[in-house]
Formats: sequence, structure tokens, C-alpha cells
Amino acid sequence: MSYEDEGDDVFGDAVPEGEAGVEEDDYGDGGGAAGGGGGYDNMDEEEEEEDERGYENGAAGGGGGEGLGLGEGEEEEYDPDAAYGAGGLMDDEDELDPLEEDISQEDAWVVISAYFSEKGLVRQQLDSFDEFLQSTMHELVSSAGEIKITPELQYMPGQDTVRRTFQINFGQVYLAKPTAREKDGSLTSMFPHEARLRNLTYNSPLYCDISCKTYEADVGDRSQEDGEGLEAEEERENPKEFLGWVPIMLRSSFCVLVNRTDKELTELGECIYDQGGYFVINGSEKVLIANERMSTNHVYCFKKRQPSKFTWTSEIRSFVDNSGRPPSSMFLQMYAKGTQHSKVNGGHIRAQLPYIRTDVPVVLVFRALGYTNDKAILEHIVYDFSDTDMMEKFRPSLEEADVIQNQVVAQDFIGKRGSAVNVGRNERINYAKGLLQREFLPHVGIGAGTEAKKVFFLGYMVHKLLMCSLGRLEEDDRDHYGKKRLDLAGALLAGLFRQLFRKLTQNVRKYLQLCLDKGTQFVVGTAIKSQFITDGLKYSLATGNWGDKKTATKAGVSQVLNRLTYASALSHLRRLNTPLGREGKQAKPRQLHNTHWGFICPAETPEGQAVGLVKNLALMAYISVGCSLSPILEFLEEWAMENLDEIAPHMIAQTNCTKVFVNGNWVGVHRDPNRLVQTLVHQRRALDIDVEVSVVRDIKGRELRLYTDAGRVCRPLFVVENNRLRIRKKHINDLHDPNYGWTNLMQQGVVEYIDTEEEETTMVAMEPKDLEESGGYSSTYTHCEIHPSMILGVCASIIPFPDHNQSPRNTYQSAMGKQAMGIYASNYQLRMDTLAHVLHYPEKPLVTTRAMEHLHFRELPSGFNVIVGIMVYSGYNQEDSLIMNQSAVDRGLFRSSFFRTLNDQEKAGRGMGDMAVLSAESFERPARENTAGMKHGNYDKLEEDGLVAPGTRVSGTDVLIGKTTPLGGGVAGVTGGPGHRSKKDSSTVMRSHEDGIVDRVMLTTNQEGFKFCKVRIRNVRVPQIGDKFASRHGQKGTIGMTYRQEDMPWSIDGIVPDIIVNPHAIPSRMTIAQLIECLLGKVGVLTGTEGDATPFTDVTVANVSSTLHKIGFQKHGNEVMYSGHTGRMLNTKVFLGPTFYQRLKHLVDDKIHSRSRGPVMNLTRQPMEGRGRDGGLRMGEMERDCLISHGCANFLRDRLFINSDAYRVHVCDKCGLIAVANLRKMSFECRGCKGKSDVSQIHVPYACKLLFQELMAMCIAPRMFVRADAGAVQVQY
Amino acid sequence: MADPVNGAAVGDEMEEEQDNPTGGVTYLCGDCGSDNLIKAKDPIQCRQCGYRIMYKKRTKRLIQFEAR
Repeated sequence: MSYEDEGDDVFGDAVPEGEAGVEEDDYGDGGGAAGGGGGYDNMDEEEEEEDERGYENGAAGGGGGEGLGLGEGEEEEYDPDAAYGAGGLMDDEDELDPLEEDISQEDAWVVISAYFSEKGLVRQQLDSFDEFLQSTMHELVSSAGEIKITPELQYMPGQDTVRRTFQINFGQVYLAKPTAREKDGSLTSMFPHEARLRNLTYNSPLYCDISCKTYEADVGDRSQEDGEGLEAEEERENPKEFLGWVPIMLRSSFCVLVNRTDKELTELGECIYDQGGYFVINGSEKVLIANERMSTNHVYCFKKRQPSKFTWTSEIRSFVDNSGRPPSSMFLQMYAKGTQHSKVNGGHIRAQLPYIRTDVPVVLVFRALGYTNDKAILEHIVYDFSDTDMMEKFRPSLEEADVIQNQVVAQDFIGKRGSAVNVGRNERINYAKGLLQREFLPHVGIGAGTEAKKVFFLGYMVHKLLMCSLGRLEEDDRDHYGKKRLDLAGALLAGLFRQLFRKLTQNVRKYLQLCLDKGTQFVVGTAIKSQFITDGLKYSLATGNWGDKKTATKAGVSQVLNRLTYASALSHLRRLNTPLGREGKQAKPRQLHNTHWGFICPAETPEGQAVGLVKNLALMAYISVGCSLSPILEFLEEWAMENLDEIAPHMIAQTNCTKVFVNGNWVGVHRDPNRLVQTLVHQRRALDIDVEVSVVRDIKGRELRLYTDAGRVCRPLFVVENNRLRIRKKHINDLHDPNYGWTNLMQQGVVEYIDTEEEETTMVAMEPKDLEESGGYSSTYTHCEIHPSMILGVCASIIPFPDHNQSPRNTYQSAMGKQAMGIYASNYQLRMDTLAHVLHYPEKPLVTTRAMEHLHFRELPSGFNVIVGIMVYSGYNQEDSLIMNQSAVDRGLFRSSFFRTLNDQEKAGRGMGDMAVLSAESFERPARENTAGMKHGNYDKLEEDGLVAPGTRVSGTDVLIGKTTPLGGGVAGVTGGPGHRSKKDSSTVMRSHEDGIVDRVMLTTNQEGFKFCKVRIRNVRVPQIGDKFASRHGQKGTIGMTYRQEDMPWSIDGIVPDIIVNPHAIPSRMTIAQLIECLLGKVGVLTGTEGDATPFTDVTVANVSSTLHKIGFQKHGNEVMYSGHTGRMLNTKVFLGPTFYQRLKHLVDDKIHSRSRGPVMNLTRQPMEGRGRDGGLRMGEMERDCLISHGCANFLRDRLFINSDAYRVHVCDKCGLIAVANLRKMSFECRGCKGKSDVSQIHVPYACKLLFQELMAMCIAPRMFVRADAGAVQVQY
Repeated sequence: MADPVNGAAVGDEMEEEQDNPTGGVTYLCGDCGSDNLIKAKDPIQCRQCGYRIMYKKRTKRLIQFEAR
């Protein structure tokens, strides 16, 4: 296809062909209202919306007129007629042409809905994984897997004497639907829910076509390298050989759940709101956390702080895509001072090359690459010879290198400093040549003939370094998000798969070599050990240790999906990690950067060590999966880009010449960058080139950078042309058609993805209003935000009015929202999670944000709209405690269920095969007669099968799963006579502090075919003093007191608060949004509407309070209240209204703990630690310090000794060592000095005695002398 | 073999419910919901539909709750 033909159209001003003058200032609310509110069930205040719309349209009309006036009525690039055809009929009632009418802020929400209904919230995970399965894996298998073996002849009798080469190639790979293999060998299709319940792995078998060629080796010696020209003697195809099991991401294109209706999902036992994006490994849900890294193939220049050796350095990490080799780094360093005895006095540049021990003058690298004369080198670096400053700046480098003027000498110079030592000159030169070809800037090219390009690139690096040192360019910003790449599930798995597949092929090669050397036939199927891939992937996904088991690798890549609340799971799936030392105290990488806007949530980050290092994606952020480079290169070729091979270096200096980079590699120059950029952007908007491609034009630097790589963060923006949005009312109307969605909008070029780096070259209007003549401060906008509230992440989007809060409060709430109880999945009754909290009858919030719709917060909420009074009442709500209405609690407020699941399986015994099965454990009711080591618990609730039945009340010491293990490794009940205990008890007992009712008991078999059982215990938790609650503004508190309704204050309407919070919680924390939420909630509850608390909208306190005033309430929400205790009117007015409160998972019942005496540790005989083991409370060092400072010596002794590990030992007075004492016989003996008398009894901590004994084991004799006159002097060694 | 449904009804009276004289416990299939009598060494698989997840039936013991 040629682009030239339509070039002129493409560059048209892209103003829609208009029936000018059709627009009118006002229009009826007929079609318009349908367009604005149709997509929502949300009942916002009707009047306000109407007002707003009227205003918007009035203004928009003006804007539209202006836009038309500018346009020449040219034919537009996208055909309006075609657009009509796709979208259906035009609304006749519309007085305004919908193709011309501008959209309002309200319409943006229709676009946002379209985005989320198509993409969902975990699209990055799914796309990345799909890319891995659909293309990366194919590439890896077909490129990495070629095995060639030429066995040495053994000259055995009767053996052929022709040497043969066996070549094995891996071809097409196939992946089946997720499958379960049972113990009996049967294969059945697997569903995720079954995998979760049975602790299986949700995975698919991977197959590969393998071809095996045999040809005579000695004939082909001439063309041994390729083997292509050889006639194969024998060619065998092994279609679909099994390679291993690959875990499948839920809802990815290979998952059985993709494109299922809600009904089907429910029938499969899935949550209808679950979005997938995780794996099920051994029954647990694992998320792959995205990893942030610096981008490769980018030239960075950094200023070095003096007293460093260098003033400036420039570096690049050169990396070839899909090569599997680690990036090779290269540095350029500009020295501050010259070396001794050198005529150069600083300012010279040297290059640090890979595998070269010392840095070499950069000019020598040019010479070694074949550019020997100074002029040629300067042409590649300075470009413009009239630039005397730069010429002067580079002079020291040239002078330093003028002793070597020859290519070979330069190569020898480099080779001498290489890792190969004691080699001849020729080898050295060849070494240097090879190094420059393969290891030096491999992304530019590997092999001969790439020198010219490498010289250009090296020259560019030096040029940039010189520009920086001349102060013409700024130092590079390491934290700029445009230079970051995110490795998602796909990239991570690809890296792992490459490693494992290499291991597999190596193993195949070893096996074949063995077979061939032995002269036996081989079968490819048996040569492939599928465990490599199966176990390798499973191990890394299960543990999070990415990479080989033996080598130390990064940990925490895979995490167990947090299922506390629906929002917490969503947020977990959008998390990013920066693999940087948590200890690193430098603040820069942790701080919010300007370029995070719209990509990274500014509020949601953990507190403490990981602050700022763990981030969360903003709602509309999308991560590129990478696309093919060749269409871009072809396009550039066609659009008259001059290739680097074709140009003379001095041309670069010409002002109209712009360097073109593709993925960091300099490919050529272009003389009309304006046209080129315009065309590229147009083509991208028409989806002729991939939407992911980012086009970055640096006008000042005369560079055009194109990126197609994976891991760039992008976000959609409205396209603005001629200061007018390209999206029109028509598109909004079209969106109501279910067949018209986000992709269509992309096709029409009204929205586009902009990545972090391209964003630097755009001018983004905050809202459509800014584009109007009077609004905004610019007339050169190129884009417009879809909605500014989309900068927030999942957890921050739940906060009402976050723009009215002090920023750390939003961060606190973002962390707390993950601990709130709610309904975490619609299938919670079917799931067997180890821990789960479910709130009874949760309410959707009265005050909502628009983003909540897409987070399903209304469907799966996590709290109640309680009436909150901010007041002092009886003093039981000081220091962040709350007073709660006991009557409301009795009616069911904040009641929740707690589920805990215990599981156990019949583990295999010793031995293999049948022996293992026969000697396996068994579920049964253990009998005291034949079972050793029975627990203290109560076995009565077990039934015949060794399991409790649902409905049974169980508590502290009850046994839930009865299980016995055969003793002595033998088969149960075979060995031993009567009275012999042939089995050992290994039952599962309830946790000592918990009780509940058995909710569900599941019995099944696991992967190995052993019985496997899960028991779920249910327990209702009623709010009580000490339980923790929080509003949505980082205002948390525990219940300090509960009062019945009659003791609570009431308002004149008889409203009694459910929660009373202390006013001191407000001023220092400045959570104004909570007050506005309360006010808006009050309006909502009185008018029966849902309040809109989306940030960055036009809702103001004045609006809300005037509405409240109209309804007949005090406008600021204050009310007169009467004391519940006395009935007297309270002196002050109380701020009263509904606020959404969350119940957090920290409950007193799970924490309450006390101990007087109890179990002690075996080793030290000190009390155990932790509530679960009935442990003591630690008297730590600081507590000890307090007691010392108070002089409480006796109390200290009591805590640290008497009530801890008091112990009595006998010591010999003479030698001071521990003596043997028999108190019954009153006989004493010192083993050290053989004395039988002079033994004293002393009390020491057991830990002390232990220490002494350990020292003695190390041949150190600690001696304890009890008499003052005794001592070291008396010791006879 | 006793009908599992009848067996369960008879067992009501006993202190420890014995589903049937020959031993074994009746489970509900997680897929089709049918009753399955499974003895100690039996494979855990539904006789009707072949599904491998079984759920225990609710206890037949008297349950008392304190309504408070």
C-alpha cells in the first residue's frame, strides 16, 4: 500500500465538513438528555445537571462556530458518511447537528463507561499474558530451539561408518484449553473454581511440533553452519509433542471463562464481578506484580558531583529484543582532570566498553571501528564545524588519542585491555573486532557491516555528552516516568519460560548425545522432560522467587491475591513494585513525579519502608504490550526517511534535518519532520499503525523518537484539533448502541493513547471547558483529559471529595479501604478461603463517586451509611474512639460473618507406588486403643469418616479432622500385637481462641489422588467495645463505649446517631471531605438521591448547603440535640448526618489476650510468644530501662527472672563450674575438680545456664563463684 | 445395599448417626447434588456425574442456639 496517494488528504486540516451555521445556542432536552444521562442509573440532582448542561451547550455553540470559521471545509481524513453509516441514524429531534455539537463534561462519563465496559480494570494483566501466549512463546520456542548433534563414531562391529548429523527443530506450539489430569490418567477440562477448591493448578498442556532431520555430516562440511543446503537423509515430523503444563491466567483468551455471561459464570461457581488477571496455583490465587525498571537503549547523561573523577557521564544499556541476552552497558566519561604526565588537562572523554578492564579514549573506539581520521570522527560527533564551543570541548579527547592513528593499532589497544590475557597480537585484534561487533551497542546491530551505524550512534552519545557539558542540555532525570518500563505478567513469564525452555533443550541434547553415542535409537517424546517447564513455572508462581531454585533471584514477584474486599483485590491486580533496596534512604525514587499524572495514583501507596516504591496504576492507565517494529520501519522508508547508510554526516548539521530514533536506535534522518509526525499521528489515529506506537518529537533537539516496545504506560486522551475536541455529540449518541464501543472511538480518531514520553510533547486541556475561547489559557491544545478524576487509582476512587482532603488522609484511606469488611466476591458461599470476612447486609454509599460504578462498589459495598454526630458526649470517645449505638448494633448494624477454612490431606507414606498408598495416612476417628499421641481435644464431634458434620458448634479444643499416620513406616495395623499402638494421631484441632459453627465440609481428591478435605467454620461477629471502624477519610477509631438508644442524644426529629465521633478528630487532620460527605449525604437521604462526590467537579459546599437549607434544615448541617441521659437540650449545636463507615478487620475478639501461667519454650524455658500459643507479654528492653530508671529492682527481678525462667543449679565453690547434685541422697560431686563438698545452690535464669553450657561445649569455661573471697586467683588450671 | 436416603432417615434415632449398617457416610455431589454413599477406601467420585468434589450433609444431631 502506498501512502503517497492520499498524502494531501492526510494533511488536511481535519476539520469536519460542516453544514455551517446549523448549531444553535439552545436546544430542548430531548435527545440531549438521553445522551447525557442515559448510561447511568445514577440519580444525581436533576436540576443541577440540567443547569450545567444548559451552560455547557451555550458556550459550546460558540466554540463550534469558531472552529468552523477556521476550517476551509476541506475533505476530512475520516469520512463523515462512513461514520454515519456505522453509527446508525441521526437523531431527527436534535436541533443541533450531532456531528458538530461539542460534548459536555457529563458526556465524558459515557466515554469512560465505554472504556471500562470494553477493557475492565485488569486489562494490562490480561493483554500482557495473552501477548505472551500468542506470540512471545512461539518466538521463544522457534528461535531458541535448534539442536544439532554429530555423534563421534564408535567403530563398533557392524556399525555404519558414516557420520551423521541429527538436527532437531522446534516448530509451532499449541496450547489446549485448561485441563486437569487425574491420578488415574484421565484428562478432563478444568474450571477455575474446581482448581481453587481442590488445590489444583489451573493450567493447560503445551504441545510443540518437532521435526527431526538426519543428514550426512562429512558431506556438508562446507556448509556446516547453516545445514540448509544439505539433502536430508531422513526427516521425521513429531507433531504435538508434550512440553509441559503452563498455568493460565483467569479471563485471558485461553481461559474457559472468557466471554461468558453472568448466568454461565454463576453456574460455574464464579463471581460475576471477578475480572481475572491472576493464576490459580495449587488452589491459591496468585497475582504477578508488575516490576518497574529503567528503559533500555536510551542514552542518559548525568552530571557527577565533584570531587568525582568525572564531570559528566553518559550511559546506555543496550538490549536486543527477544535475544535472551542480558543488556550490555556502555559508559562515556568526561574526566575532570588529566592524568599525570599527560599533555591533556582534563575534559577528555573515555569510553567504558563491556569486557574491557579500563576505559579507553573514545576517539580510539572510532578508530577501531574504521574511522581513523579526525575529520571523519568530528563529523560524527560535532556535526556542525562552525560550532567552535563544541569543537573546543572535544579537543582534549582528540589530543589524547593522537598517538594512535591507525585502525589496527586502536583495535590492539582495546584488545590488550580485554579479558583475554597472554595472547598473540592477531588474537587480540580479532578479539577486539569481535567485541566491537557483538558486545558493543548490540541493539544497533550484531555482526559485520554495522560499524557505520555504530559510529553514528557512538557519535550521537558523545554529542549528547558534549551538549550537556556545554550546558545546552539538562541532565537526564532518572525518575522521569517516560524512561520507565513495567514488566508485567507476560514479560516476567517470558523471561522465566526462556530460561526453562533452554534448560529443557539442553537436557534433550544431553539425552540424545547419550543415545547416539550408545548407538541406540531415540524417541523425541521421551527425550523431552516436561517437568522442567511444569515445575519451573509452578515453583516460581507459587513462591514468588522468580528464576531458578538454586540461584538467588528476586522474591515477591508473585503474591497471594488479597481477597479481603473486592476493592482490595482489584487494587492488588493493578500494583507496581520498584525493585529498589527498601533501605535506600534517598527520597527521589519515592517521591511523586510530575510525569506520574494520570498513570500512577497519587494517593495510593503504603506507609513505611515501601512508601513510594510500591505504586498503583491510575484507573485509565494502560500498559503497552509491544508491537511489531517492521511496519514502522517500512513506513519511514516509504516516507522518505534517509537511512544512516545513505547520508553524509555533515548533513545532520543542517537545520531541517531531524534524527529519527526507533526504540532508542538511530535509524536515519528526515528533512520534513512536521509532515512525518503529522502523518504518523494521523495513521495511528486511523489504526493504520498500532495505537500503542508513541511518537515523540523533540523540536529543540531535532529528534523524532518512536517507541513500539512493551511496558510503556499509556492513557487515553480526547484528541483536540484546532482547539476543538474531535469527539462530538454524535459519538456519544452512538455509544448507546451496544455494538459501538471504545474501539470504534479509537478508530474514529477521537481518542488516542498517549504514553508517558509522548505526553511531554502534548498540550492537554483539563476539561472541555478550557477549549472554549474564554476558558483555559492556551489556544494550542492538542489533547483534553477525559476526566481529571481518572488520575486516581482503585482505592482512592472510593473516597468522596478527595480533592477536599489533606493528601496523607487519602493515602491512609487508600490503605484502610483494603482492610474494610464487605462482600469480597459474589460467590463467597462457594469459596473455601482460609480467612474471610463478610459484612451482613452492606449498604451502597449515599455519597458516591462516578468511578465507583466501574469498581462495582455499589454491588459489593463494604460498609454502612450510619448517622454520625460529631460531638463530645460522656467522654468515651476520646483519642480516636467512638461511641456506638447499642440498639442499632442489636438491630444488626455492622454485623459480620467470619469464615476460616482448615484443610488436611491424607499424605503419602514412605515407599513408592502402591506402598506409598498403602502406608498413607487415613481420615478416621482415632481410637485410643491403637493410636499414640492423641491430643487433649474432644474427638466426639467426629463422624465415622473422621470429619465433623456441618452445623456442629465447635470451639477451642474440638477436633475437626481426625487423621492417623501409620507408625514405623509399615502398613497400618499389620505390625505389633494387641495393645500395640500402630498409628499416630495427626488430627487437626480448632484454634484455641476461636469457636464457631461448621459451615461446610468438602471432601475430594487432590492431584496425587489422595483424599483431601476442607472444613469451613463460620462465626458471627457482633460489634463490641474495641472493634475498629473508619470513615472513608483516614479517620479510624475503635468503639470506646456503646449506649442504648435511650441514652444517646436525639435531635428534634428524633434522629439518634449510630456513631458519635470526637470533634478533636477533625481540625488537625483537615478531612474536610468527611464533613462535605456528611452534608451531601444528609441532602441525599432527605431527597432520596445519591450524592455525587466525584473530585474535580462543580459540586460546591455552597450548593449543597443551600439545597439542605431549602429542605428545611440548618444549612451547615448543625442540629439542636438533647441529652439522652438528662433530656436537657445540649448547649452546642451538633453536626449530624449520614456518613459511610467501614468496619475494619481488626476485631478485639481476635486480639484479646492475657496469661498468668502457661506454656514455655522448650529451649530456653521462657514463656512462649504470641497469642496463638497462649504466650506471655514481652518485657522488652525499653520497658526494662523504665523499671531500672524507677529503681524497681525487685519488680524487675520478678518480671525478668522469677516469672520467666528461674532455674536452680549447683556450683562448686572451688572451681566455679556446675556440680552434680542429688538432693534426695544429699550427695554432691564436682566433675571438674573431683570435689565432693563445698557445693552451693544458686538460682540463675535457665537461659543463663543454657549459655554457660553452650560455652562449655565450645571449650570456654564460665565459672560462677559464690564467695567474695573466691575468684580467679584461686583457680588452678 | 441400603438406599442412602432411607438409611439416613433410619439413622436419625441413633446417638451417632450410622447411615447404614455396612458403614460409610453419605455425601452430596458438588455438581449434580445427588447422594453418594462412600466408604473409607472408596474413590471420591460421584456415581451419577463423575464429579470429584463431595460435601458432607448437615449434622443430624440436635442443635440448640441461645437466642440473645
